[in-house]
Amino acid sequence: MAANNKQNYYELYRRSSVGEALTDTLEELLMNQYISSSLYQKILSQFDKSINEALSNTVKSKTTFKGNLHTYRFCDNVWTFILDNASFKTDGVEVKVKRVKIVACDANVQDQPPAK
Amino acid sequence: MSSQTTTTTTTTSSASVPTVGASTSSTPAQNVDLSKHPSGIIPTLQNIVSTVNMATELDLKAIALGARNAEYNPKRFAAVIMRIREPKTTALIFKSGKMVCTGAKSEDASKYAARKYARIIQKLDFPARFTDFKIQNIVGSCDVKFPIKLELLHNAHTSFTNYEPEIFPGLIYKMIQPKVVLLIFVSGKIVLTGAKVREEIYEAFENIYPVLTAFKKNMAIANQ
Amino acid sequence: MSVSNVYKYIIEEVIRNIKTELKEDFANDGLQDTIIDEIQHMWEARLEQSGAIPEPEDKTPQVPTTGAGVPQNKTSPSITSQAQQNISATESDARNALNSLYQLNNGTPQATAATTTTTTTTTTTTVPQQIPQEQSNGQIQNMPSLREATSSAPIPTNSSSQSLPSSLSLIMNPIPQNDGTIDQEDEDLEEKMKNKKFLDNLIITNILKNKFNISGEDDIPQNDGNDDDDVLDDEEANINKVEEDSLGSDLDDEEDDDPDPVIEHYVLCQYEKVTRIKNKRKCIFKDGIMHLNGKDSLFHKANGEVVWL
Repeated sequence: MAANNKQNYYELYRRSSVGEALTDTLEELLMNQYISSSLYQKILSQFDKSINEALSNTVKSKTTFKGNLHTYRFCDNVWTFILDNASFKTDGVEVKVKRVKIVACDANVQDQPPAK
Repeated sequence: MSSQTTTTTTTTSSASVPTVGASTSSTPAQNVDLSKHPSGIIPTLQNIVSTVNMATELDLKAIALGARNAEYNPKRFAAVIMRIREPKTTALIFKSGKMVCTGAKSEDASKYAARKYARIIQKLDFPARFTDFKIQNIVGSCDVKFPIKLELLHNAHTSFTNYEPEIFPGLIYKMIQPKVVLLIFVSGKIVLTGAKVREEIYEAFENIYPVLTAFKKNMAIANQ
Repeated sequence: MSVSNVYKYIIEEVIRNIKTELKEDFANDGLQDTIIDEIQHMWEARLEQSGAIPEPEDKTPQVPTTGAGVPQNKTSPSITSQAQQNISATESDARNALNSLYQLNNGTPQATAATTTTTTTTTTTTVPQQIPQEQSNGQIQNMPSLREATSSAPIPTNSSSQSLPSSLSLIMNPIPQNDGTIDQEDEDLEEKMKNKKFLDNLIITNILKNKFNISGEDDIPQNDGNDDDDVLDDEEANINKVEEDSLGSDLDDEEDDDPDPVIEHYVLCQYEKVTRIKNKRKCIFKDGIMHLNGKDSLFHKANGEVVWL
């Protein structure tokens, strides 16, 4: 297995609330030149690692969902779905949305490539 | 003698507006042209496969990223798989610019769908044209509504047939003229494939129909 | 673990790792360790502000909502008061953070209020993604109310602005606002305005409205004939037309509308398997963050069936 500091983790979680909060913060510091570009990248990479690990190790809940598939796309081993009238049920709680975008990277890769 | 019944089912659909989604109906009895379909049964077209050459090299990744409802997994298959809802079809689009269009229920629908795909490619800034469109295969099916003695049929037509019920429950009949393959099932359901024009499907069926009747399975004690 | 706890864990992990592994890099950049804490504060503040973390109380009597995630009536008072608290927490955090940053840079502490508003406006203008843009708008709108709240802080004088980077000085000395700070007459609305999510949704609906007015959806009447193919102007081409069909806009479907319109709800995850039978797809996902109706939720495994019609 690759050493921890050499392994690449998926960057897609940067688009989440917690990811954007960090990215915004770092961008501001970068723009004002308080941190270097290389440091910016390294912190975000650390974030990728932490969130990937946190999600697979600390979260236990299971969700089921259904909906109408408005559009799909598969390219670069990334699935993108746009669902209409979708419903997500997690631990008994149901959430319905008119339209949702799902972006999914390949879980079946041991050493994950730096895909967005 | 019997008056000619007017043909309601179109044979070669030459209508300018393609009747998308309309397949030849499976035999409302009084409307069948018995001069064309003496059996009184018209097979329903189930699938058309066609090809077209868009005459330009394509960047498949760009297409997969730009078009909707597209899949591209070059490790598994070197083509973009794209679908449209109307006509409900699937296209395989290759880097050479050649495309296969499957799933349509009529020749016109297949051509219309192929043009739609070419148009999508064109809108992605490729100089796509629509050349050498060709129907490659037509699949039809029908139901003679009586059971068939497959084993006996096979014995009578060994040179044309394959029948191994342990491998496949249907009898495979390879007709020479027209060059069409028929799958004949005990139930009386028939699948016909390999035709390039729909007349070949009809002809093949009319050829086999008397054979099927000859080997009709009776509930009464079978004749030796 | 709840969403809030998972996020806390993530933040702590990242900060911890930064402090250990990236210590050298920070030193190389000439930065003190305190900046790492600033990063953490700003990060947490932004996350709080986004309102994405669901409250534990909200979870059980969950009213299923559709469409835009405008908070339901019964939960909005708690959300807005939370948002208010968050914003005052945010302000002081951000203020402290920025103060120390400027200390590092300039050696003199700058005035707080304008400083706060400065950073929030400059932050998000360059980020190309959809959601941060909404954030920036939201925060600009927050400015008047922030200024109200921090009325005690003096606005910096011209002399101090000279030491700032030129890009900031303009914003540090904004054009004085003489028409009053509150744009909305409705006081209730002012409360709502402090809720970033409400603003985001306002903006999204307005964008969507405008989009429909401006482009794409309206049919531009085509008067020059259907065929796009210029070759058809040639007589020669007309002769060949029998063999090759033209591809005109008559082939376009209605649904070929603007690509990827703004979608508010999203799920980020990994797929274990996606299968298809006819037009039905079965998906098995794992390790996902869902952002639905403005709230985040997580899953370890997700199963779904979707139909493509």
